[in-house]
Amino acid sequence: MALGGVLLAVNANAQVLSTFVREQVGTLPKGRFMVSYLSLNASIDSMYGRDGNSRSLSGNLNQTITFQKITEEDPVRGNQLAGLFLANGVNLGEQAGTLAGSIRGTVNGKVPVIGYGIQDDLGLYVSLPVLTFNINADYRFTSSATTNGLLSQLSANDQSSVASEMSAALNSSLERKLFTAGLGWDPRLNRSYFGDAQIMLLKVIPAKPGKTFKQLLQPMVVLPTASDRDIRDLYGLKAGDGRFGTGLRYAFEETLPYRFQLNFGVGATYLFSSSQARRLPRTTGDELSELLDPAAQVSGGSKFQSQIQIRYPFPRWVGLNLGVTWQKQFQESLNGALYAPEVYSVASSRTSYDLLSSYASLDLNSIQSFLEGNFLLPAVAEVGIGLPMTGRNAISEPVLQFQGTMFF
Amino acid sequence: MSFGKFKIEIPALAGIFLASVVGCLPPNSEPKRLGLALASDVSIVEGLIGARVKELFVVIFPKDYSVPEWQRIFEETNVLSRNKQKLRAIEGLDTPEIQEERAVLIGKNAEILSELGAKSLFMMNWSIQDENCRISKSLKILCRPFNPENPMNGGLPTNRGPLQFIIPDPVQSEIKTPYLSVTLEQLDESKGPYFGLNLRLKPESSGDGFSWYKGDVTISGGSRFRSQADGSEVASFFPYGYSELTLQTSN
Repeated sequence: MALGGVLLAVNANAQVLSTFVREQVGTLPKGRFMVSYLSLNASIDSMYGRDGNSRSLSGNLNQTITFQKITEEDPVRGNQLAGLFLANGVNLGEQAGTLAGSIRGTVNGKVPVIGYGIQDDLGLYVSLPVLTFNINADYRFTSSATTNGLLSQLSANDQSSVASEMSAALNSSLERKLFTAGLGWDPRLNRSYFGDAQIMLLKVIPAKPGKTFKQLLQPMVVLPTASDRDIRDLYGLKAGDGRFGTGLRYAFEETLPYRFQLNFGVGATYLFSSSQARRLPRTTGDELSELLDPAAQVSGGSKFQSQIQIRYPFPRWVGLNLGVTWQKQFQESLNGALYAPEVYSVASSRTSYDLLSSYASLDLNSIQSFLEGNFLLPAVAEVGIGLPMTGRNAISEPVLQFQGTMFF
Repeated sequence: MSFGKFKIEIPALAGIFLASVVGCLPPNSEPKRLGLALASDVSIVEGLIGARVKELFVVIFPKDYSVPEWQRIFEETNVLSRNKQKLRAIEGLDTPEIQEERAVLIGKNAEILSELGAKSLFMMNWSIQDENCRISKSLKILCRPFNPENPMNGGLPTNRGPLQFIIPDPVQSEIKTPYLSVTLEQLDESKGPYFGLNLRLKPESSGDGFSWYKGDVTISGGSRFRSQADGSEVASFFPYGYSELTLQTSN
């Protein structure tokens, strides 16, 4: 009896993290159930950018604000504002100030999985990830010397109320911008989101007599249960894709000399095209996706995952696992009629990601002891850590995982 | 429009227009009637009961002014403000040199006001001398004009009332700082076409017996103004106007 491969759902569609699945080819005996629970914890303080460099998540909202930018953002009063600044000796290209701060937080994932053995070599598994994001954001606007001079000038010119209003407007500018854009800003966010549910069949192709080479086929269906608009729009984080999908995974296991085991898995998922509300950046330089298309057309998307693992099972109870995981999502195409094609093009260019990570885990299992009558329930517990190596658009923080599985 | 009939000592005009724009940072595509209030401070407006309107000034501009046109307007108002400060500084002094300087400053201000008036679509001014307006117990501005034919009375629109002192949420409101909300409507067709104005007046300063407010004006949909140029009715205007209010809080 063994549990194998079913938890690839964790990182199949949710936020791209250095999560991992302990590879093991096997499924449940006929008529038996299993319940598994995986907990993962990671910081989200930094992530790999589109250029592959790790950077703070805070960078999304850090920006230098020029007087020109202020005027350009107001379609009604832009000319009037420009006139005001120019009349007071302010060059529109000068900095009004900088917006800087920090975003720090954690993501905690909980992935329950229920399995049932249809046949000795065929099992049905269902998983539904729940991700909890805890984010603390702290941003401040720092006025430039030019702005301070302008405010002083206004005050000295019988315009104290104007200076106060302008100062308050600048200091609340980020929150105001996010509020008017409907981005649901919560600087102390602590919220849980469903990921996409997965239904999987596991078909084991047992080893031939006298051989140790076992194989596994795992077709799966992705259900669009994820709802993560606020964190997706604002931070570029996600709990799932929110689309129907289908996929197939293949894995094998081979026993090597000195009790070592080699496990390899490769899987691909296709997510169907869909009409979704999506936020879009105005330009290539705009890190904040502010424009909303409530019905953007998202093309079909492909994801690919592979993992290789060396396992060393100590006698009876303990196994040590070392592995490398690669995840990749190919670029999708976004289209719509609300904005210029260039806007969708910029958003499309940001839909791909990849992440190469390694992991080490230790598993404790009571299965052998149970079979010998010395343990009440067969169970497996595992603790491990996933370490990011290189990537794009993925969290670049280590992931700590705990997993417990019981068989009935 | 001629400013010959216009009183250039109007204090309200000294620093016009600036307050009408900076409240919009960051932007809004359309003006709001009222900012979302965190609270409305009733005690402040109740403290204004009985106050006389020393000056109430409103100006509305045509639509689609270019950057240079706005720049010129702000430059003119800056000069106006500085001239007013100089006039304040020499108040009470009466040497021949100062009399001459005062006359020059007043003359310059008259020119500026004339130019600004020509650039406006609609302008009204209630003065304590002509309109005799007072804040009633029902917190409305009620007027008993001494001079109903004053060309600057704007048709004497009705104050819908009550006056409100709004403490806005700076994030959720277009206006960031507390302001006095005053609503005026021109409902009497014999005096001109309909218009509705919401004045959002922020406290500027106060002194012995007066309170001075400045702010912007949002304009109700369907409003029309009689053109300063040819008297025709104009339904297209810049959606933010400018207003100042000076209250005389003691006799």
